[in-house]
Amino acid sequence: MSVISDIAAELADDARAAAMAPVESVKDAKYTLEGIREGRVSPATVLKTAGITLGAAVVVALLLFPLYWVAVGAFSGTGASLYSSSGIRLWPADPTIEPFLWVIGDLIVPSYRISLGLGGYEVFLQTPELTFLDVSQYGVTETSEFKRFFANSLTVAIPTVLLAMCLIVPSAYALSRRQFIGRSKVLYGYVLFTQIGGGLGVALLIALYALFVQFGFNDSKLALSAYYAATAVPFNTWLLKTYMDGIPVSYEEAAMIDGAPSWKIVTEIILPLSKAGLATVFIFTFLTGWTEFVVAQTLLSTDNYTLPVGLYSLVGRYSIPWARFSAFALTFAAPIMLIYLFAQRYIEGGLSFGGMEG
Amino acid sequence: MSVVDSAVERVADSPVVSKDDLPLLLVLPGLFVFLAFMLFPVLYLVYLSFTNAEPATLFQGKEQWVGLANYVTVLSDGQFWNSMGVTWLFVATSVALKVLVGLGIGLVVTGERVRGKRFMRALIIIPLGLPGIFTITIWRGIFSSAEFGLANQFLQMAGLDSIAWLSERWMAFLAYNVTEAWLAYPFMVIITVSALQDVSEELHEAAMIDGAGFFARFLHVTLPSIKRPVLFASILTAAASFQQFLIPYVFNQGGPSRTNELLIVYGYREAFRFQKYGEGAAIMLVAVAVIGVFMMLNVKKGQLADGVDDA
Amino acid sequence: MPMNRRTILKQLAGTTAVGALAGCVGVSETDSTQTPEQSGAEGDGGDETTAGADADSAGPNGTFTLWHQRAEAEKKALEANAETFTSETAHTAKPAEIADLRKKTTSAIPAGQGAGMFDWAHDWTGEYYQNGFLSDQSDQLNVDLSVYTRPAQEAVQFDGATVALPYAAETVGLIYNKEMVDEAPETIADMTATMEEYHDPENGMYGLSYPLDAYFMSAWAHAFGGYYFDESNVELGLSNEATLDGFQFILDNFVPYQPKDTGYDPQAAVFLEGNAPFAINGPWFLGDVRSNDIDAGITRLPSPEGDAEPKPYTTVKQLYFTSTLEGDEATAAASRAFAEWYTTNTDVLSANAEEFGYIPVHKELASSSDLPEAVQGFSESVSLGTPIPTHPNMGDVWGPLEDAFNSVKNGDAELESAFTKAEENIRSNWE
Repeated sequence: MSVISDIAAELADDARAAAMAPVESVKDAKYTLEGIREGRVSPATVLKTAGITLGAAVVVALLLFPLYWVAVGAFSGTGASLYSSSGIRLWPADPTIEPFLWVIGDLIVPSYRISLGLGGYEVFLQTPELTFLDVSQYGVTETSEFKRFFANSLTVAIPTVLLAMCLIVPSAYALSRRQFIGRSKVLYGYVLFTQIGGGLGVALLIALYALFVQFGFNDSKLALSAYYAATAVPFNTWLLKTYMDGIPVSYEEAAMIDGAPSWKIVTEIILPLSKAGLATVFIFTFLTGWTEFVVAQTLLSTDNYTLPVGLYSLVGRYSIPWARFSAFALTFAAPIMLIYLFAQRYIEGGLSFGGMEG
Repeated sequence: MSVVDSAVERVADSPVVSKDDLPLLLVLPGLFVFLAFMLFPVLYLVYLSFTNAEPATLFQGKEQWVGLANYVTVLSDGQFWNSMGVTWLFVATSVALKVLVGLGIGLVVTGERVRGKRFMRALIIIPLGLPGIFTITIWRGIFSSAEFGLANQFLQMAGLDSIAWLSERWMAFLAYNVTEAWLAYPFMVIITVSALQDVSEELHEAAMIDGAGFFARFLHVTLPSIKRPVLFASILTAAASFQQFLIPYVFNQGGPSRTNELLIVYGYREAFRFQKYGEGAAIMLVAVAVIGVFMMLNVKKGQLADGVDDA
Repeated sequence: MPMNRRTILKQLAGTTAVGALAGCVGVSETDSTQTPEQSGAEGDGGDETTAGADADSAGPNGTFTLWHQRAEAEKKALEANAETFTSETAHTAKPAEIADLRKKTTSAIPAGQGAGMFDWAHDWTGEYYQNGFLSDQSDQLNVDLSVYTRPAQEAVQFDGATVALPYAAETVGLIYNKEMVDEAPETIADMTATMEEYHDPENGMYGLSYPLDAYFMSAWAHAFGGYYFDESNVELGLSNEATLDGFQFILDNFVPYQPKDTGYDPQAAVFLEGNAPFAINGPWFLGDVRSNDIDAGITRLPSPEGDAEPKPYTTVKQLYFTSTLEGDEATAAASRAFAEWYTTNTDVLSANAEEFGYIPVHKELASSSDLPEAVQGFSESVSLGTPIPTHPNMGDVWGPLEDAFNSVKNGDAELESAFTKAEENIRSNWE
């Protein structure tokens, strides 16, 4: 549990730092300028830094150009298309946030009336209707079902992560630090199976569906989460195992000498030290639950559709409504971006394989 | 806590379960859940590969056992070997590209003098969160053969002629590689960045004192330290390249006249388009076997499967 | 911490106790503001029973699900229709949007989990019937198939069984930009003259917007007497001279005037941006055309020289009955009732024609002169064309055909040898 409070504290720190970033950079710039004037900082180094940063920024811009191009389309109203015979447009011809409004729809909390009968009177409390966003004011008459898909996706992704973590963490620990029969077989088997999901799989899909129906699980989001957790086991167990390999055994030995039972060693030493690896596995399993759509659309009924299935259903038989499609896709990716922004420090620590000198 | 401690100890001490086997209990739940979902479908797939299942027969339960006939058909098909060849070529070129690009970008966003590194890193990770079909359709639009496709427009701005990207074999191959590199770079960059951050400072400083320039330091200090994680990532991305289906399929259904058909595209066209499930299963299993062996060999060579005690 | 929790708990307990007691005491409410709610609740129950009594069908009342893969606007129309049906009869229709109908039907129906009905074009009829996915409703239908046009009748039957009911037809026609073209061309020669005028790729202008896939190309392949597939003899006609003439016609007369990328999106983009005078496309294109403010006219495909007439493949949109209806009389009755209503109710059909360009297959409407202009143009094309054969082997033809055509277009193969190879490929998959 202390792991969780640690993570919460660091998240809070990160949030504060992110909010303060612009202020910090202004302070930095002022300091540098003063330094140049006073002769402490040579202009050459500043120029070099600026130049290299600019170069890096150019690389980033080039990398993200396709996404920028799509974003331009997303802000362009219903006529947008990937192909424009009139030339490249670097700025939307007719900027409008209508597609995004279509995606998000109304954000209205309805008013509730809470009543309580006391004696001969009725006491009631009426909460006001909170309107965060009423898209009909902007001329958008239809809305997508993004919110419903979002709720469904959350109810699929969160159990996936929880279940996967419960399965993966003990396995990774055992594979990393213990010898037992069949250990290498399990490891090599997992390597083979990381690839089993890829490719076509229509026949696999049919078999899987038959399996689900057999147990009465079709159209169950929980069963889908279990499936995602199961497919996530091989790759993520491997990943976590290699990270745990980087924690020196000496820590454990010291604790054992101190008389700590192995149970405590795991929770108080190994887990905190592998926070980064845990965060990585968290993100990859969340991604599995959030972005998978082939099995989801086969298994789920229309009411339970998750976001990727909703996105795919926008694709018409021949043409794709690009503006709305892009707006939907970009909004779909937004939560993942946020998670990355906050968790990146953990990922960067997590995927390194310590103890490489050995 | 102490109740749990004593419970665990009692289990460990009991004669039925030896202490050495306790770790097996930790591994079993994961293994069990995985097998529960995947074992039946995989076994079913293996069974199908020995039958001549088609929708007409499969759904009435009337498929017939044909033994190795499917495998023979596949392995004796010239187009299959063409696919194998192209696929391995694609793996070689795209992995080289991905590793170079990943390393390069990783170096750029961890460079000492770069301000705003963290923010840049967060930005370039975005493609990993978008569904593949979406990003691949975008790249299809970029590499469109039409004169107004994005790539062609850039070429025209640079004064060159437009290229019919998707109707020429090697141009299409180039397009596949570029797209694959773009799709895979976030994964490689994450791994490279974390690996680079683990390179010990003392080694760098020692090398600088000895007068090593930037490149010399890169070759002799940085590279050896990040070899392991990059190797692991390379194995994984090689497997992803091998199984790439959407890129060739969405772009031009496997190259002009099936010349750039990667293995899974071949499987799709031979089997799934005609709904020959038996043949399709056979092709898929061949693909999985080949890539599985490849990965296992590499894992063994890189000693990645060793536990912490074996190191 | 624990101390505060305890006090909070105490307070909570206290208030709930008071509330419970209060409830016990003051329930019998004579306040007039309360009763409307209560009577409202009872009123709902009453309304339901009266609605049930209005049912006109003597059989059991059923509920069925209708799977579809419609675009946004058409989806809403279907949902509105379903609501009308549900409120007017005792049955309930539940439309459900599916992201990939093909995969869903192939995996769910054999597992017994399919919907009662689904909405799709008629090209799956033969294949799905042979797979056992569809149910024959010919004995129980209340509507006589002769109210539909001949092609539509053929589309919903296979092997003597009636497995669906048709509601619209679709095919490709010639769409032209009224600002660029004064008069609809009647011959290819006229059309070529206009295309020549506008074609200027360096400035982003093209003569024609024409996605080239097997379906879109069928008009010309059939124009000179050729055919893709002969259903009665189960034979391929791809390498026949007449068919090859058709393909050559496309290569000579259309390919030079269109963008090099023949996928749907790039071709459509050219017309939608007003950079091409002509588009060969279907009714589904009209939505985009309207939202891009193009003033478009629709006419039948122009004729080549001589006796040739373009004969495009037409598709019939229909409501299929799935095998899950067998043994479930209530659901089957409900689905039949809906299908019969939807496909014969002239109001519904006219509204669909008006809004989406659905070409009616109901004999009465098809020959009516009240059809909107857009529909009339396509309707002419439909009458010239021929429906896609429902034979299961037809499904194997499209892919190899497109491969062959593309390799010829790229200059990688000769016309005759490419299509002969394609035929061999298809035949080898038929056994």
